[in-house]
Amino acid sequence: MTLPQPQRMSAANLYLPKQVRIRRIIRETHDVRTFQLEFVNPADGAAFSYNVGQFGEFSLFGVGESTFNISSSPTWKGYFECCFRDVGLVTSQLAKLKEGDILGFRGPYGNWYDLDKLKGKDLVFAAGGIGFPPVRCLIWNVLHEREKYGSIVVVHGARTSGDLVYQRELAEWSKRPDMHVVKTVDPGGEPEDWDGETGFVPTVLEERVPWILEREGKGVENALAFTCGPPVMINFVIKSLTRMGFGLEQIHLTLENKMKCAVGKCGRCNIGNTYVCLEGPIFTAAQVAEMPKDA
Amino acid sequence: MSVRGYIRPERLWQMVDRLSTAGLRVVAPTTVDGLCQFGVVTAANQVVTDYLLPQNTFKEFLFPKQEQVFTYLRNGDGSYLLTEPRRAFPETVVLGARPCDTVGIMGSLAAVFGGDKWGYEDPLFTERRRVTTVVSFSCDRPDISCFCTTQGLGPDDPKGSDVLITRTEGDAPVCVVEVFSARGEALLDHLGDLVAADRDASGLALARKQAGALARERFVRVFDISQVKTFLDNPGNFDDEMFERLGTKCVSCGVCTFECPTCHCFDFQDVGAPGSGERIKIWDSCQLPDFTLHASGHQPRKTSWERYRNRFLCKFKIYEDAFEALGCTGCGRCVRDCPVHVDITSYAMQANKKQQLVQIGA
Repeated sequence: MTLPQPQRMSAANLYLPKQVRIRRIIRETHDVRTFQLEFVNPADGAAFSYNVGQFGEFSLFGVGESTFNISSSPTWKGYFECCFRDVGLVTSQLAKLKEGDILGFRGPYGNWYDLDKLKGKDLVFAAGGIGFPPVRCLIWNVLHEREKYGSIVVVHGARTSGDLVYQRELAEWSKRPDMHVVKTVDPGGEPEDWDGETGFVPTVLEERVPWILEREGKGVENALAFTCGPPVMINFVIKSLTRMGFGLEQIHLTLENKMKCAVGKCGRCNIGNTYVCLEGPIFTAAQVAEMPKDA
Repeated sequence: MSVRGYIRPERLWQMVDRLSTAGLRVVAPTTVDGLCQFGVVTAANQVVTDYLLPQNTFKEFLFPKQEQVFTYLRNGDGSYLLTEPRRAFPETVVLGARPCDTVGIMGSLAAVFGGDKWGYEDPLFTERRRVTTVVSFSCDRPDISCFCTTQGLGPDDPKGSDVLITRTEGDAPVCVVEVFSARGEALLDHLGDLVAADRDASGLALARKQAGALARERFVRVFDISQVKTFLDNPGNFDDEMFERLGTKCVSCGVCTFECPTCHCFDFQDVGAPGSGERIKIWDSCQLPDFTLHASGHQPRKTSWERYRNRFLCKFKIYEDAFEALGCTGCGRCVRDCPVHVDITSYAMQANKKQQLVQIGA
């Protein structure tokens, strides 16, 4: 699958953010929050559009900028979302904000999923922890026109049951007859009343997904996989998918390198000669296999 | 023909006075903090005339060490007033640039900050570039760290220069003036009778060519890099033993990057209180440990040798692949000034040798 590339952008105000207001805060877990955002200036909102899988630079003035995936579906109008874990200098301060507070936003940046190439395919999503948002935006976008796609399987895992993000959405999707949801926690992370799987995402993926597809009379030849999570998880997910028969071109991943400028100038996100901000953040596993171990 | 005349050597730096009087900002080698550095000068007597390469490059006049991107001020309703500073970029002439720096800044840095390849143009650089005229001086005495000829350039290479001035050899040397752009032509108007045109241009051109050829012969750090890119294009060589062996001694001070004409990495920092302050764009370095450190603790380049490997790749592969520009111009500063003698030319020589051995099947 060839991935579309960003459009040209005008020279003015390359690093000057627009202002967005926090419309709603959703506490996904004890340390993960979703911000629903709307533009302060309606004209900025009217001019804004994005494609599924792109990212932005979110800033808290006086603290700094962070890079997050735009975790909402482009089909949702009037607002967009980001989702972050309280872990670093900027995110720990973002976590203190209230609804109505204002952020800076630059974007969208990076490439995106070409949905036309996904239509008619069976879709397998495998996400770990805070790696779920870059996959979740695509799931919602696909569900917007559910009938145009084949089977849908979602595997989401986290260290503990309390670290699973989008739990209410997982519950909602679990009730749907037209998709399969598998939630899992790392061994030891399950509470007594745990109703999901126990095991690491790559393991659970390999145990459950072939069986689910087989039950629907499907193999993996018409499937595409989408993954994001910690680097070590992604590596093992690719191995699991490969053993299941997926070709490397069928596997897509979102790389989340440290970035500052998002436009190929600050020199931070490169893996070998590949600037993640310019050519990514979405790559096929075939592309990643050609990259040096620099990420 | 590009030759427009000549300047008598003893009058060469009078250019400073002429251009300064004409209202132009002049950047030339001068003494800054006790070192010969490019700085703003207003008169010929402020110039350090006996120099090979200033400690810094002149990149900081197009890509400042730090600059304000905008200020923020929180309004009563919680929104912010974001204000870009009034940026008045003065017409600037860089006098006495060396061809290596000129190619690195006006060519390579311009490729990164311009929008030709990827569509994002950084006006903080490109607007300055539009008002900058570069008058390069050909080198006649390269030192043992210079290696521009190996990088495909030369001591009298005009690439990127608006004007190139080359001092001829012999008993009665003159400084031959060549012009390569409309900006260079405009500059000549300011120089007036400083540039004499009473000699045959073809004779001057010949003498200037001979001077360049003589200077080339004085290079000692000359080696074959023809196979380096091929070596680096092989992903398997990313894990070659040479990187750890040559780079372990690196102390991650970053001096090689700050002095480099093509290093472009920067950071944004917010300076001030939550309610008011500024965001600055500030030089950064891929050699510093926290450069690629993720908030999660994940660190793609844990050791100094992995970071120097990135620098070597950037200069000899990434720049060409990602920006179609020359990554290393052979100025030699990173060789000359490394406190622990990490030497990028030994990386290049060894990579070249390893690839040659592959090709002869050894």
